[in-house]
Amino acid sequence: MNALASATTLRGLPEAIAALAVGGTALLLAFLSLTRPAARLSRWPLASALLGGGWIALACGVALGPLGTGLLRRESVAELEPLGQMCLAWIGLLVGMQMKGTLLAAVPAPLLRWITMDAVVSFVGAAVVTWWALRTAAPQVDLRVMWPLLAMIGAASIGWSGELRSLHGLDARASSVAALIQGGAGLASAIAIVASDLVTLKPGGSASLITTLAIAAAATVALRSTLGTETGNQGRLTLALLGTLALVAGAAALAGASTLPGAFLLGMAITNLRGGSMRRMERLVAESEPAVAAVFFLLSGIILGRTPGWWPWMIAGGLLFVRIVAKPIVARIALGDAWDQPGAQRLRPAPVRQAPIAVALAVAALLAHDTVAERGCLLALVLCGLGSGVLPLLWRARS
Amino acid sequence: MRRVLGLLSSLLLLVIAVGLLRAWGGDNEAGLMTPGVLGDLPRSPATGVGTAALSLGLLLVGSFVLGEIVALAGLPRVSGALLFGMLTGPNLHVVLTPPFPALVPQAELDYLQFVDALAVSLIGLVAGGEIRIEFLRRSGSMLARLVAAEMSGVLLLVGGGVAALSGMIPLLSERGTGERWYLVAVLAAMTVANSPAIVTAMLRETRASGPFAHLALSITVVKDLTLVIIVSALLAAWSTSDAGGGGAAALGVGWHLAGSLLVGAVFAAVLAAITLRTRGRLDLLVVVIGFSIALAGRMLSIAPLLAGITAGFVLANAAPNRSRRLFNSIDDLLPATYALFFAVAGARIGLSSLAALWPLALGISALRLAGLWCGMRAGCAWAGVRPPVRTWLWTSMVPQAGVSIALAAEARNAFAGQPWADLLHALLLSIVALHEIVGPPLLRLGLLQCGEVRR
Repeated sequence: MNALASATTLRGLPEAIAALAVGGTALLLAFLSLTRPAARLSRWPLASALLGGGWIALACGVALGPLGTGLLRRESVAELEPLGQMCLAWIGLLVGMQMKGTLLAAVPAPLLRWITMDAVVSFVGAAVVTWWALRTAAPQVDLRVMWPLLAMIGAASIGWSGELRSLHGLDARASSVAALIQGGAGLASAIAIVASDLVTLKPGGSASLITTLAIAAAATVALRSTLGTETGNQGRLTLALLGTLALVAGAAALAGASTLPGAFLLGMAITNLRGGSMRRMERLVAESEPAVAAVFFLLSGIILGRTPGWWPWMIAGGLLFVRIVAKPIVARIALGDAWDQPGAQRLRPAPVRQAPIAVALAVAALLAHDTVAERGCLLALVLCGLGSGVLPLLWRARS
Repeated sequence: MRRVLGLLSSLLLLVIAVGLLRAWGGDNEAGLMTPGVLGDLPRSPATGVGTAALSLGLLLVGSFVLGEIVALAGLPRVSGALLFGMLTGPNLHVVLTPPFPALVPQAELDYLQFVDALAVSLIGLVAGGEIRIEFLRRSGSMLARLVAAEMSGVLLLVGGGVAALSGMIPLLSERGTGERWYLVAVLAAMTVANSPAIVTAMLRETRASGPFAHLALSITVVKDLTLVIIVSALLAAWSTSDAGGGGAAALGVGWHLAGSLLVGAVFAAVLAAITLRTRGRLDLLVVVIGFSIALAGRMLSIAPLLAGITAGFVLANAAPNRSRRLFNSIDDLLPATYALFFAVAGARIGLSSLAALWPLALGISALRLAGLWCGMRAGCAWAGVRPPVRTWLWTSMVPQAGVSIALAAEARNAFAGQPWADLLHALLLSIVALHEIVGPPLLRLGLLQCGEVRR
């Protein structure tokens, strides 16, 4: 009913083709992720790495965006900003939801040691590499101005690939290296979010962060008192959850802060509050992880723009070098003999793979402040993530 | 009482928090990032895009909480969403003194209208899925009689009443005879519309099932189709007399209807193929399909509601078993869809025009209600509908929302440049606002009286 009078005139054809291309691709991705052949395909290591890491979705996004066919122009990309904020909020929520008091109390000492060492070494190593690359691109810019970017890349390099909520897997098999790798991936994602937001905080930015956290707290109170102990209605839970996430994302955007910490706090609150509705909400968020990840990586690919110069490639190469060299050494030192256990050999490349939260941190920075530097950092982290995902597979195939 | 107080304080806390945030604003430059290390990019996002998520969140959570409060008072949740939209929308902010920060600014509301189109598509899918071809076959002549009688009742009473009083209505008194009669016809035709969205939402909320529910939804959909043709013909007649573009206008109307049906059928085929080959939940797919229908509506100048109804109807009747999983997935998204759709509709209600035109709007609304009652009673007697449905079926035709607002906007576009175009638009919106408010409680009353409410 929206255009009775102007029904004879179609909108601009390129715009229509772009919109249909985006809709078609999203439909195809949703279709692929749900089909039986897709489930069978994910048994192959390479396909699993590409599908699980979100790289197929990202490649589709790149193909549609300004870096690829250019079907979506910069103005159209800007229109997708709220969707990106919502995806980020969902990711922050997922990570926050594993911060359950009982789970954190059960984290074994070797894992704490490993994560602490990894966080320090990765942060410093990645920051140094980024500083070196940015100095070659912009020698006049001093360290103080570069610091937020260095800190963001440093935080993004903490940890390794794994499910964002993998800390939940720790309790039963805490002694095995596989369980430590799984649990560590989840814990590292939480540390990366906190580190990224605290280390880059400037005096003026603290008010923004506090405002976002206050809105998240108010939303949690509203959510808790509205839902009460309700356990039955999935639709009403979805409504409450979507609304709360949008509220947190929007508050962060208005305050000029990152979406991730507020959503992270919300996730922590949900997982530590008692009640049937909270348990159901936790399950709802966990079940939707693949779908949200697909949309998020599609959007990340779309917003990936062209960056002048080679410095993002230099950063990516440097980060890859740090991961390949430093991560296994840190694991060996932190875990001691456990790292040499029979069977653990196959798991050694695991810490080399970049965590998915890295791209989320870069996108959050880009949505807060869209400049050439932030775009370059996103490109660098995407390249590093792709390289660190494929290299261990090649290494394993050769050996 | 304790629960109501708890809910009210949560709502208040939320509104105050967002109000303070809006009042103080955000100092983006003092945020986490420094100015571009390697240079800033030229960036011109559409106004209201960056912070639209805040309005989205406020409308969703606020509608949910207020919906709970009004539900405890025995009113439909839809009314809570409408009320919350009205209270937080930009129109109330305009009439308030001293100035208070708009909780949902106009720019963000404009952006949310695209998400609103997603809601319209999903509502259309659900409405179409509720109509069974067996029911249409069995009750086709009954439906035709009811629609004809109800439309005639409204057209006669509203048209006759407005024509009789045209000398006292400023919009009509200064027009020539031909133009006056034309405007009377437009006004009467516009008041015939009711809201498929509200009917569907109320049926879902109350889980109503029975002759009242089936007839209410079927009449609404059939009438919607008929009305599109009538209004299109009226607007085309104006274009023909104004610019000689009758052929083009007729072509446009034809495409609007046929295109909507065609696109709906294509989406039904795609959905059927996908549901056959996939497993698990289809929530994401439903959202993507909803967006695609909305996009198609925007790009191809078709009606998303009509396309959605066609897709839902074809799917539910051609592949009833296969589509069940899909409709179950839509069910989980419906509360969020309804909350957003009705809150946005509430936020768009022009309170200032309502304040100025309420006597006229109230008079036309009274004529409409009388026309609905008479038309539907006569139609029910003609079609052999039994009590209590015969007594209460008229209540399902009272609510007005998205379709009526869209028709009013089309009329304004068609009459652009005329000195009375804005006044007609404001009057139509004021009438919609009144029926938007009283419609859902009346429909709930009708469902209750017919004993079809299951919760």
